[in-house]
Amino acid sequence: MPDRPYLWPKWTPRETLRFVGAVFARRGPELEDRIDVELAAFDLTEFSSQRNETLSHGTRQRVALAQAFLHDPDVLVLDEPMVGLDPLAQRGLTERLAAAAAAGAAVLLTTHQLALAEEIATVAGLLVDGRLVARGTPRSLVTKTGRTGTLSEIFFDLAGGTPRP
Amino acid sequence: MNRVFRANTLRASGRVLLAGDARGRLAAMAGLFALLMFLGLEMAGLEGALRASRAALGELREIRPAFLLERLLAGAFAAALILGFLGSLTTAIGTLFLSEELAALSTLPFPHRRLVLRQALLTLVLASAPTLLLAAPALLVAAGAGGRPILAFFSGVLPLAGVILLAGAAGIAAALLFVRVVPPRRARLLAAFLSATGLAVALLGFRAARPERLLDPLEALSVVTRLGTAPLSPPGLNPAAWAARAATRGLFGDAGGLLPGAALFLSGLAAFLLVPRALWRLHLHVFRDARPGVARAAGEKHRGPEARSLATVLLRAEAASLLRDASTPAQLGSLAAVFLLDLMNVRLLPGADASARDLVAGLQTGLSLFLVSALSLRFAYPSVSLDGRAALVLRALPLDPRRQLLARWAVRALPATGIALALTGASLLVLRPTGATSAVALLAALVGGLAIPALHVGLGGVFPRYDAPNAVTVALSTGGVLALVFSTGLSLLATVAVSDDLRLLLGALLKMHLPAWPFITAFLISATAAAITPLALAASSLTTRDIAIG
Repeated sequence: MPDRPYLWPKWTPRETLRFVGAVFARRGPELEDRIDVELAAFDLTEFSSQRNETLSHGTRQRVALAQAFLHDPDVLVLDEPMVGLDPLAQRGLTERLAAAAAAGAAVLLTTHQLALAEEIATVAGLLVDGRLVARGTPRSLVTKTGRTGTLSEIFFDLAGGTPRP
Repeated sequence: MNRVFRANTLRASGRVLLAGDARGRLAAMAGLFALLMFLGLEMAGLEGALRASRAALGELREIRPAFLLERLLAGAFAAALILGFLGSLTTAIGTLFLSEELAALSTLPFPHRRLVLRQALLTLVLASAPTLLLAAPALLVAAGAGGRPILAFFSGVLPLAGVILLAGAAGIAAALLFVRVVPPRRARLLAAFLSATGLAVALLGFRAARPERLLDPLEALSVVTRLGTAPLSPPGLNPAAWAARAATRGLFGDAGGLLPGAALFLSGLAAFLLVPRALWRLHLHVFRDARPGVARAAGEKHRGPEARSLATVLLRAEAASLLRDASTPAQLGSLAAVFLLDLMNVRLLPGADASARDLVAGLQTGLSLFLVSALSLRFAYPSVSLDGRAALVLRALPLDPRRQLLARWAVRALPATGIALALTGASLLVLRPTGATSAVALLAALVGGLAIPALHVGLGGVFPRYDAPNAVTVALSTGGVLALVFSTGLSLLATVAVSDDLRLLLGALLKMHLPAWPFITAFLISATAAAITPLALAASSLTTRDIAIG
């Protein structure tokens, strides 16, 4: 899922999910039931018949997430999935990601929220200017020069330690 | 795409027509009605022209209608080929490299070759729509006029489809190669500029051929006789000439015309299918590299000029916004062609008759101001609406809306006044009317050039459309039409104020004496009111209006 997901503006969330489901060879009542489940999981039921172009940023983000989970993928690649979500939706997504990982899916997500990464990641990598400069677990990251520390410590150390506005 | 995609798209189209808001439904219905009107008018015009030419050619036995028709069709197919190529080039850069939909589809498990083919088809549909709109009624009329309508219809359709497919294939291939060397956004600007320049050259070429000669019956007869008696050279490798020959044979009832038409169609289809097959890997490579998100920040060290005053900052920002508008270069190209056409007209103005010179001086002044109106409708009227979401930010700033509006006006009034004075001045140099007429004409050009952009900026602020996708949509709204009506009225008033002869004519019709000064005064007062009132209304409306409903 990209950080700015594209939704066909004149389609509704249900139609969008139906298309993505069909792409992954889901059909008929089984697909419709699954769409209902995902709509409910992302609190989208009341928006399911509205055009995507009329939805708010956060609601569109939830439609894109429902799209990503719809076909039980083995690999989930999410770019800044929390952007635009309210705290409840963020909590719901964290639980869904944990459940997907527990069920055997690989979840790769990029985020600027260090707390989120520290909370849910099993493996973390730190990218600076597109290069991987440290990797490990969030509690014990190792840089290329061999320094170790938590994700936050290494990040602020590499960033120069000066918080930016 | 799959069945669900097609069903969704169909439902979405129906939703716009049937279940959208009242304004959307009205716009869709009005669009459909305008389309049907256009098709009906074109068919009626062609039917009339066909009847008239049949009657005329019945008198001119030495002329071979097939020669005339083939020459006419060769020109039409050549135009379709060139316009199709330029249209596909510009459209393909958007559909193949800047489409958010393609980016979304490319994350789904579709073969990339299929996605490229889909975007190529989309490009073809979008780029060939104007050609099809013009050609479809002509085909129907031509097919209905002969003894074998089905044969005639297919003899026209097959070569036309062949030409459209060939042009589309060439345009799409050129777009792929173009973006290989130039980033997509810049490539689209360059392609749009190239298209506008092509159109401008075509317009100038048409004008330079002096089509007004055909208004002289003797000259027209000589041209028609020459074209209708000399046989055409063999088509060689020119697809437009092949298409014209095939269509002409079919339209005259010769079934042999179907074969070259079908061959052209199959060649076009093969070329069109070959492009995605041959270039999809190149597209994938360039598409990944050229996504707008990965563009590097340019010129980090370039700080730009320092801010000296708020007025300077506003003016610079307004000029930059105007020049960076993606469609500005293309539309300026077309408008430059109109400007040059007007200047070329000056060479044909009457030289001897003083009365005619005075009349034409008035008309040229009006024409200059009308051109300024057209420019303003595109570049001044939408200026407030194009703020879009930034309107919310602008509203939150401690910045007087009057200053914003004045900056918008100043940036647009300068070139508008320059154009009005240049066109009027050039006409006056050739016509050499009386000193008084010249003075009034220059005054009208100066005042009109300043007032019309103000009128358009002001009305654009009174009727903003922050949700509109582009400047043309804003300009074609009800407020835009109102602005054009007012500015055209000013142009007409200027015409009457400048020309003594026109007032004499008008006075004779109204049976009264019409001196110059009331018209000059009325023009000056109207221009001032038309400039100030909408700007003042807009300034007040911008501070109070709910931006969300704009």
